[in-house]
Amino acid sequence: MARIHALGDFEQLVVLAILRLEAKAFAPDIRRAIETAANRPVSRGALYATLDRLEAKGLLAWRPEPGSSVRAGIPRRRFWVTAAGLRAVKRSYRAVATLARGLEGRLGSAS
Amino acid sequence: MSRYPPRLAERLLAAALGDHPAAPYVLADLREEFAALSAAHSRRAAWWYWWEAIGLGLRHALTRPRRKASASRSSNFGDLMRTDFVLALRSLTRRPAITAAIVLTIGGALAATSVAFSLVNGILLRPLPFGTPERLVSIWERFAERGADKNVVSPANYYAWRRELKLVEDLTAVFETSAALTGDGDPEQVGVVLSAGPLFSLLGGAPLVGRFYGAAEDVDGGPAVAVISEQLWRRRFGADPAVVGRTIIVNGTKREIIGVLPRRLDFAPVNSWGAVGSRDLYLPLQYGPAARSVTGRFLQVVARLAPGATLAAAGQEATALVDRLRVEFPDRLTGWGVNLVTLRSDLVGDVETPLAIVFAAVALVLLVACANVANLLMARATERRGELTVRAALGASRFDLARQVFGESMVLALLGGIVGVGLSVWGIAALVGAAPDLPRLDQLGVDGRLVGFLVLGTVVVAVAIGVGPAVESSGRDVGGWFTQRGAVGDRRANRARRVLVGVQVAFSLVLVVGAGLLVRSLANRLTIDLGFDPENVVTAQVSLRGEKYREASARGAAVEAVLERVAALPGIAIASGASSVPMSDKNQATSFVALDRPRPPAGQFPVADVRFVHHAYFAAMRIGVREGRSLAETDRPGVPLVVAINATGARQLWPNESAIGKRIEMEWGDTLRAEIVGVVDDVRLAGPDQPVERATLYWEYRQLGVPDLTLVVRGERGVPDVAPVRRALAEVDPNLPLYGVRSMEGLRADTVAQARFLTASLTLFSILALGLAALGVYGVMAYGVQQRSREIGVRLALGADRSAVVRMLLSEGARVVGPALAVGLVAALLLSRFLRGVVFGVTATDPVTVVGALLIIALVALGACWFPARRASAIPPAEAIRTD
Repeated sequence: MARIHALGDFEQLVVLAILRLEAKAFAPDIRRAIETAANRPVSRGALYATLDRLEAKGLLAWRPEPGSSVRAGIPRRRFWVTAAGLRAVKRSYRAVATLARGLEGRLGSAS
Repeated sequence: MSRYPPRLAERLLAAALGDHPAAPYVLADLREEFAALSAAHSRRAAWWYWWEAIGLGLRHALTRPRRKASASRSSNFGDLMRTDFVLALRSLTRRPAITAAIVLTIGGALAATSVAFSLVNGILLRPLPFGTPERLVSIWERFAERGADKNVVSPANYYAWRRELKLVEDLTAVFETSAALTGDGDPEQVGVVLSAGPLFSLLGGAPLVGRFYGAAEDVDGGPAVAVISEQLWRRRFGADPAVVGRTIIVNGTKREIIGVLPRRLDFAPVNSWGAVGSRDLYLPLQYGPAARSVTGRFLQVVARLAPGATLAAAGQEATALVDRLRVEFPDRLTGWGVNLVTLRSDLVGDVETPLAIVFAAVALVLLVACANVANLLMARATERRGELTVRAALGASRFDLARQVFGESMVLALLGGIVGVGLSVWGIAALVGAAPDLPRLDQLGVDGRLVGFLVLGTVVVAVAIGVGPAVESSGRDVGGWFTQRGAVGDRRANRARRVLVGVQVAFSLVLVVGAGLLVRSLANRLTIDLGFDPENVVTAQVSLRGEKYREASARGAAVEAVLERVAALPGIAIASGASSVPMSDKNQATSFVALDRPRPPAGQFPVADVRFVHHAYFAAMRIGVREGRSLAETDRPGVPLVVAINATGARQLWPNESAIGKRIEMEWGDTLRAEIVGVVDDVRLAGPDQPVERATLYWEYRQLGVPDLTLVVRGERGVPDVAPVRRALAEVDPNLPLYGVRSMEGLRADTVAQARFLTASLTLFSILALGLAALGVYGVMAYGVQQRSREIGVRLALGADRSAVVRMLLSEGARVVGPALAVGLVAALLLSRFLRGVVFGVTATDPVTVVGALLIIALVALGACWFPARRASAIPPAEAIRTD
């Protein structure tokens, strides 16, 4: 069985954002999605470092897609979550969900 | 705006990201985001990009190399630098307090230096805002014998020059005054520039709205037009682009607005009469043939050198022309020459020396700070010899060790530079608020030159503080430390540290001497007898112009009515007036003759400052009457003219007899003849710096009436409130604005404002330098004592007297401080020559000041030696011997 990585808090947000954005999962969009959802500023440095790390662990992959002319021919990176990545985020999410069960009253509406 | 981010920021970021595989994508992503942002907010986008690039770059530099640095010794220079940088940062963050102290010292000194540089840059170096500024010149008349190098010019001479001179073009004459602006809103007194010739093509630039007037409109009976300032346009007309064609009333005359002059082209003439400090209206002089041949001097002439012409050549041409004209008009030109200078030197000439002094003082502080930090770092290098020796033993080359230590200095300098940038931005803003009325102060700011200066300053600091410690740590031989505990290296390092402390002491002495001289000068300026009593006096100007006040009698009556009302107000001791008051930047002077003397040849007439005063003026200003009588109520229009003269004038003209009853003659429009009825005390008209060297003639205002009058009102207790005075004026004529309200104390403060600024700066800098030097002396002494504690313990154990130990250590200190004081003294005496132009009432080598400064430094140094010496002598001998 493949090794399942534990995901950090920010890493979870990144993976979830990529899953949600699907065909539009480019780095700037990922950052904006997290900022909107988490309601806090996200530094580009942190995001790019996390993307690198997750990619190195094999949890993310990307493929080039054409971008606008200002990019001078450099493609945009469209990220997607690998099978290992999906397993990791499922596990993290399950842990959170298990622990949160029964606490709905104190945690309030999740939305 | 550009769709592409700031190129420099992008390059820096690319360099920081290096060969990271994702680097091109990150850069491209940022580019895309930048393009989107700049479409909406082009200015903010650039800032945003810089911010992001710095954040990303720093994060990358700090997180990535940690893996690499330990991985292998890379031969790549960039990696090497990054490794050094990270190592240095780590080493420095281990001692946060010392690091913070060093960074703040460097940052503070760099900020002070760059604030001073921004003054020099903004005022002296940056070109004037006008077209082809380097070719603009002022042309003055010169009367060498009277010491008048830059005399204003008569219309007759101006028009002759304009006709004949070929090496200058756009010859323009200007004159600043003020006028009542009425109609469309409240009446207000506004500054007016009257100009003959192509002023606007000289300044170069386009109107904000409408057009400028040209030569065709500058003729006798030309159209009544006006160009208004951008400020007036915004203030009074709400920046209405349809302002062109509207009518304003200037001194009772209707004029049509034809254009708006942008603020940056505001031109402040040096000659003014009744000016209000800012300029809102530009009007053509429109002189006819008669006015063009007037020989009275009152115009400032500005021109542009013709292409290819030099200042010297144009000067020769002008001199040749005046020589030729003098043959034709000996009356008006005997003794007179011509003087061409650059317009820039006219506008900033007075402040060049003080600014240079401030800059030099700050540079000294920076040097002292560098010496101080270098000292600290050398001490640290010595402390770290164990660590460095181990590194050397493990195979680090001398170059590696030096590089590591130097890297720390670089990082410290860099951090100091960053702090310095922040502090200097703040400092410049504070300075603009606090500095005296310096020319072009509004043009201060951060520009490329200032940034360049800061970068250069940071590099200089890095080298200054880094070389000593780097050399010190590279020189260690491995075996030496283990066997001899580095005794040789220690001696060398100690010598270097003593020299560094000596440098601090010497430079501090220079600064303290300079500050002392300026403090004494300021005290002299503030306590000198001005010849009148400035306390409790308020002055305010009123301008009696327009149809209603054409006749002198109408002006006299109006003034009389106003003064009567003001004098009756509660709390007012005396109300009077004068054509101008001392230290107000307004002066009128002319030549005159004593009628009982043989008439001097043309060009050798004595010159007098001329004032038209209401008879109560001497009482209001408390100017003493030495002989004869004051001007009086009975000296009315219609009775023979009388005049009072100052003591210096009376003595110069009638050295051995009384001036009372003598008659003089003076040209002032008409030929005026009057009898001297009083001799009054000398008054320093231009402030404390200007000794009284010639006659002042006081004419009775009501007999001659000039249009511009300064009311002089003395309160019974305190400076009178001006609001009731304003009401009294409005009762007499509601269309007369009261302006330029100043207390005499305020005017006096203005005349010493520059001296005060300079004194405060130098005092502050000398205290800073002295504090740093004291710390330096203390550091070296304390370190020396610590190193010698074993020896001290042995001495004490063998029965040495404690006071003998203190004496020994103090004499040790004296061996550091003594030679430094000698060197500093020589330097101070050499450098104080540059203060010659700004000291007052003391010589630049004033022995009292120099000895005082020596004492101060010696005392501070003694204190800095005393504490470590005391502590050493108090150590129990046994403990001292145990100390390693």
